[in-house]
Amino acid sequence: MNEYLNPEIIGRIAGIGFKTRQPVEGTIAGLHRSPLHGLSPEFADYRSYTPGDDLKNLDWKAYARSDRFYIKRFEEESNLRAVFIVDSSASMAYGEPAFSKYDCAATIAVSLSAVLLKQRDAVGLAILNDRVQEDLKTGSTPSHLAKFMEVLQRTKLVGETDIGPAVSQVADQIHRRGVVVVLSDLLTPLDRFYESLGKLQHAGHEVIVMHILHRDEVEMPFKDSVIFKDIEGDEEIFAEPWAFHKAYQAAMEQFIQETRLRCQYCGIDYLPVLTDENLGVVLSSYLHNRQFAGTKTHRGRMSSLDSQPDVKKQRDEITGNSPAPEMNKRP
Amino acid sequence: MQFLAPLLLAGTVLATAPIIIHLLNRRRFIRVNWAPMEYLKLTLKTNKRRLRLEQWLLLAIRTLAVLALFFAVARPISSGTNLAGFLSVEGRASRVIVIDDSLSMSYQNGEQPAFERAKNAARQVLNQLGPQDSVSVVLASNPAQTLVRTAHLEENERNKLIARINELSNCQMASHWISTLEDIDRQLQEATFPVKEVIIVTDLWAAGWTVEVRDLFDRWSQEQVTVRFIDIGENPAGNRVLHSLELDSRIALVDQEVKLTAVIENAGEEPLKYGQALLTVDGNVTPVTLPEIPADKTVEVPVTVRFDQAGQHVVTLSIPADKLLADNIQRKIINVRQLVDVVLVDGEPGLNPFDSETDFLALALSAGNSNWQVTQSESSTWKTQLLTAPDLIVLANVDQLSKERVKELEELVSLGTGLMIFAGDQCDLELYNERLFKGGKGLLPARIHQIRDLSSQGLVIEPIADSPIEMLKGLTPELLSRVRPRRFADVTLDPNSDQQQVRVLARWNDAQQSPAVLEKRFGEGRVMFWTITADKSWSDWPAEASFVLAMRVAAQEIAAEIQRGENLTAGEPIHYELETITAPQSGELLWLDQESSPLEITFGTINETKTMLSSAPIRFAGVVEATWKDTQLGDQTQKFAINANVEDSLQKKLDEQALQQFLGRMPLKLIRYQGKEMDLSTEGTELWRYLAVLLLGCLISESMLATWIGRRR
Repeated sequence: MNEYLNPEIIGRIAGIGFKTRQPVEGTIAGLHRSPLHGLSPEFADYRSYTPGDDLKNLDWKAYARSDRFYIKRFEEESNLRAVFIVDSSASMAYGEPAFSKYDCAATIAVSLSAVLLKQRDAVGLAILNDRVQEDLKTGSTPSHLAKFMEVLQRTKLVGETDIGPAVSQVADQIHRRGVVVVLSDLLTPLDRFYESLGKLQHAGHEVIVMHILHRDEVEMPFKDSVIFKDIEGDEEIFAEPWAFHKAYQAAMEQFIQETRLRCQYCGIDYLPVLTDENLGVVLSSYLHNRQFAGTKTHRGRMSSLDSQPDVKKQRDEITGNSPAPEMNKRP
Repeated sequence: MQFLAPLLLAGTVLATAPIIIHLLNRRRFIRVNWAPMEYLKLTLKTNKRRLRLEQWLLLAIRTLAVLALFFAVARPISSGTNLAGFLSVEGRASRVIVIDDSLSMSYQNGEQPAFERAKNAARQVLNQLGPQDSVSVVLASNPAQTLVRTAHLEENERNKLIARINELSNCQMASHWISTLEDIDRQLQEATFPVKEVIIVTDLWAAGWTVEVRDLFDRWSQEQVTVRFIDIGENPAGNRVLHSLELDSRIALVDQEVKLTAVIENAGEEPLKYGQALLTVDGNVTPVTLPEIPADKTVEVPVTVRFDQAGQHVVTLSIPADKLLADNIQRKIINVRQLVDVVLVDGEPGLNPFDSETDFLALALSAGNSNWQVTQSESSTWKTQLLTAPDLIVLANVDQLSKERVKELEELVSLGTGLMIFAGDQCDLELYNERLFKGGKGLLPARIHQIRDLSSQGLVIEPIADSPIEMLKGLTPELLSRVRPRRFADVTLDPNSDQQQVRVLARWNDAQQSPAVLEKRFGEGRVMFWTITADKSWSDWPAEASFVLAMRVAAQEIAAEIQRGENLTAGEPIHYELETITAPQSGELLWLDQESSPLEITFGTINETKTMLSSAPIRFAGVVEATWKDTQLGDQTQKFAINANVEDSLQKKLDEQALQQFLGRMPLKLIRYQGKEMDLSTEGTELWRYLAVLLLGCLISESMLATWIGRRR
């Protein structure tokens, strides 16, 4: 039952916590900045009194000093509504039975959810492949985590990866600004996926993309002849991997870098994760970096990235501001 | 290509092993459910051509390595021309190997003469033939005498035959393929096996190939006889030929200049400058400076010799050496005589000097000419005497001759005695025409029509080649214009007469261009008819100096030739009449200018009147001397000169198209051997070393390529 609940990981990241880098709208007071001004110990600014204002917000001391009526305004600190979108296509099953990409994604989702719930934040879950398979509404009670894990565990990994439309569908259902964490191998039609990310951003959500890959998929370490069978289809290809090993690695590297570039260009956190990495280290490092990273800058739509004159220069510049680490290479 | 261990070639089927292993390897794989298929396909698409090329290259090297291994252990032997394949037939065969040994086979453009290459080729052909086949080996110049006839050659016999072939020399005869092939045809009739084959090893020079062979080849083609040519010749690249060395006059006398003419052809592309020939007279060598002979031109070179003794003399002329030495030498046996015997038959003798019909003639022939023994004889006396055999008989105004005397004269002339006939008033024209002209079959060149008066402006010498009075053309026209006869014997030429036999040597300068001097070849001798008298009765010419010259020249040219068959061409037999009635028992024929084995000669009689010395055709050039013992005359010798038949020096080689024209319907099967090495048979180079190097190269390449391909990329 508690397959994805890893106390070691949670213990490692619980102390760091998870804070949004942009205001979010919650239902109860919490750790996170809210776009609403209301009851909050944090003073924001003054404004002139207008008839009808609640007199309790009148700053009498200021009236005494200046003989004018000022109303004190306070920043509202809200709780966070985080939605985890987990890819459940068949490709996420790679790595079974030991530790598949889905297992990795689920573990990350559960670990972060546990931390968030501890912060009294609300977490939701959407499991999807080419359509939404499961949709767990946000909740902030400790028992919600159990439901969270139950949904993850009962999910069957089937279907093709085309999460773009499904993510768009989920975006339409999230009415308050929050955090959306996408956990996928991104072996999907990327244009539609990027489009859905844009939609999430436009709705004011902070988006985090966690790119879950198995090390085999990145390095192709096979020494024998291999028949590669499409995990989501019937196609089979016979190949001798040693003959094009580096070319494949280069192609995958370009895929990762391209995704990183596009995400960061749009102000999306991009975190590549290999399934054999120590997730506690990866997440704690990421969360730690988030604390010190500045506010994300949204520079434009993903589709406009291709028209930039000097993509490489931009990519380098963007990468420098990213809290996400480079993908770990096996020594 | 031959293999010494052909069974091991079966191992080449293992060349398929790399392919099979490759296919089996494709069955050894792991199956992986793979997610990033798009990136895998993208990578494979980008590298598809390189990957396929690498795999094929590796597979090819591995296959080649296996092939090289088994080819090497099968011990292949190079046979650049695939002689074994060329000679292969289905079943047992009767084969005749013909080795061209004609004069042209001496041609040496490279390191070896053509005949040496021919022997080499013949050896290798013999090595290819097994004992199951019947083999005959003949020389083209002497096909009747085979080196081996319908033999089934075991190794020992083959080695003996090859040893005999090694000792062969080519002759100096010209090719005459029709006679050679006809002789071979007779041998093929005796062949036992149904598969018949003629292998001709030749230089394919054009001389000797005539259209007559076409019919024979057509017949052979119908009879399923196969003809294979082995061309060992090289293309002619220039040659100088001494065509002939001939005496200018029919007689050679002691202490007189004997003039000879050498005909030299320069059939090369370079002119012959400052050439020097060597004239050898009885062993004494004298250099003769040759004129410049332009390329592709023939010149006549005069040579003068003088003999101080009567008898047989050997004269040899050799021109500068070239690629075909055998046609650079001409040998000549010259019979030098002390005297020329002339009988003048006077039909109108006189009492006073120069009254006789033959007085002017006798003076013209004998004055200051001690070698000419002139005898004047009255016709009435001569008619009754026993006829001797002088070198020249002159009938001057002889009235008539008996039939018997005419017959005797015909015999003498046919054997070579010269005859001059002068007209005159006493000549009985009717009898002359009946007995001497005989309707064109007699001694007289033309029918005498009548004796009539003539108004002529002189004598005109006809421009005829080899004319006995050709030298008179050198006289000034004024001298000849002074020859103006008043009367002459008008003759009528027989239009049916052979132009080669009867010729008008000179004509009178009158309106009719009447014949003045006529000549007729009769057997070995010549008859000259003068249409005027030998005295001054019809003209004043006998008192002229030009008359002396004309008579001397004419007499010298038609006097009996004293050559009797001593000079031969290679390929001709000796057929020499002896001056004895009893045939000698035995004799021998020895070479004087080379160390060769003696030749056989035979003696025999013809009609019990002539004794002949004979031999088989002599195929080689040189000087031979026949010696025998005569019962009456004691030890006798006779020299003979045999010259190369330079017809074979024709600088032209048949190409395949030209040869096919002679072959008719017979398909051309030709194999050419050119270059320095004659490398045709199992004696060729073993190739396993080269294949071992190839194998090593394959292994190294395979290792390097496999490592390079197998590295992680």
